[in-house]
Amino acid sequence: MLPHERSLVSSYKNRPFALVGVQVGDAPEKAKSFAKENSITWRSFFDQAGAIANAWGVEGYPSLYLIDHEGILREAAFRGEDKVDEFVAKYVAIAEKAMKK
Amino acid sequence: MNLKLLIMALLLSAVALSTTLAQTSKPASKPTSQTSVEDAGETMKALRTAFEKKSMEVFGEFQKIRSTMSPEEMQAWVDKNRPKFAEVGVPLQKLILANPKHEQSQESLSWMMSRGQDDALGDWAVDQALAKYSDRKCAGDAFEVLQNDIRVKATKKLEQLAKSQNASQSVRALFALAGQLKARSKFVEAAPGFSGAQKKSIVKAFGQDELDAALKSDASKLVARSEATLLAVIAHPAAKSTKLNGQAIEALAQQQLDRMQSLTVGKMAPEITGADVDGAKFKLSDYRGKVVLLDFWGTW
Repeated sequence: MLPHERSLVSSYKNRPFALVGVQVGDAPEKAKSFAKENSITWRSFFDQAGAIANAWGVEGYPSLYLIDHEGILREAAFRGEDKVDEFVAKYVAIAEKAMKK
Repeated sequence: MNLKLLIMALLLSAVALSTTLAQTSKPASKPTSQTSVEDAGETMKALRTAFEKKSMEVFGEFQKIRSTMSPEEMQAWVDKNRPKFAEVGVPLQKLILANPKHEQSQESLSWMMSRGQDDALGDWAVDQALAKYSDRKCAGDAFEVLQNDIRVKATKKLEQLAKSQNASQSVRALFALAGQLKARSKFVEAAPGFSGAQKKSIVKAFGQDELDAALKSDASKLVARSEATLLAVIAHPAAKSTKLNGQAIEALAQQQLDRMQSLTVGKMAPEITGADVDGAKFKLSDYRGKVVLLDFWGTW
């Protein structure tokens, strides 16, 4: 997943897109060192106890959700690079179209 | 919304309502030629009771034969046999207008708006209650009816009322508008799947333009508007002081917003307020305007 996420972040640079993580179950030291070693540039909510994951009903990992530019949840609990590419492309295009209006 | 269910509900509520009426109201007096204020009240009661009784009889009949009918036949049977609302609505309207101060006029308005929901006389009762009895219970009932009215017409009416100079009426209208948009979104969501017979019934009850509007609208946008409206209610200067069933409208709006923000595709994503691993606080809504890919992950 990580290389794909990195490429996604760089290819959608300067477009209406953000990758936001929810880092679940890791200790703070582990989370910090991991971010450094893997040059993770995007932000994550730190969710050691899994409170956010519970609220969202996350059942497996990784688990992805797509939220459009208006804050509406569009795709829930999916995984797979193909789906990620498809959904991100679709909703970024919609967001850009809306911005032009 | 399922129109068949709506009609069933109308008939069922007729039974429930007539039971309570039978318990609370005195036996209707014989109609007399006198036109004293008391008699007007008794006449209004009698008109309502008679209509309820008739509805109940029709419903009993319907229960007996419904198992033999297709949904389309049921619909047609109900349309044909249910008592016509105008038979009671027209005389009630006259009595209400002639006796504006009578307690039974307000009762009758509340009754008309709940029982005549697919009739122009029901609309009239809603308008009359809001215009002439704005601080009375029947105005509250009118807001409740509008809140469950899935027509564009109801949206427009509530938008207009929200502009009222009377702060309490304005916040009440805004709160009802939030509920109405939500109810409407469900109707819009279901609209593409309506059968031909259902579409026909909707056109008959609400008009072609309402069906067209439902087919053209975007349910998720209505939900988003409903949420934005709840936020406007919470921010309204009269939201704390205006009470509904003993609770401040502000608190009711907040509860509703919390409920709505539970996770559903097509609805607003629930807010996340948290912090990164360094303790810097941020929220999901900070990214409004951007598409967010939210990734639940761990290093394990």
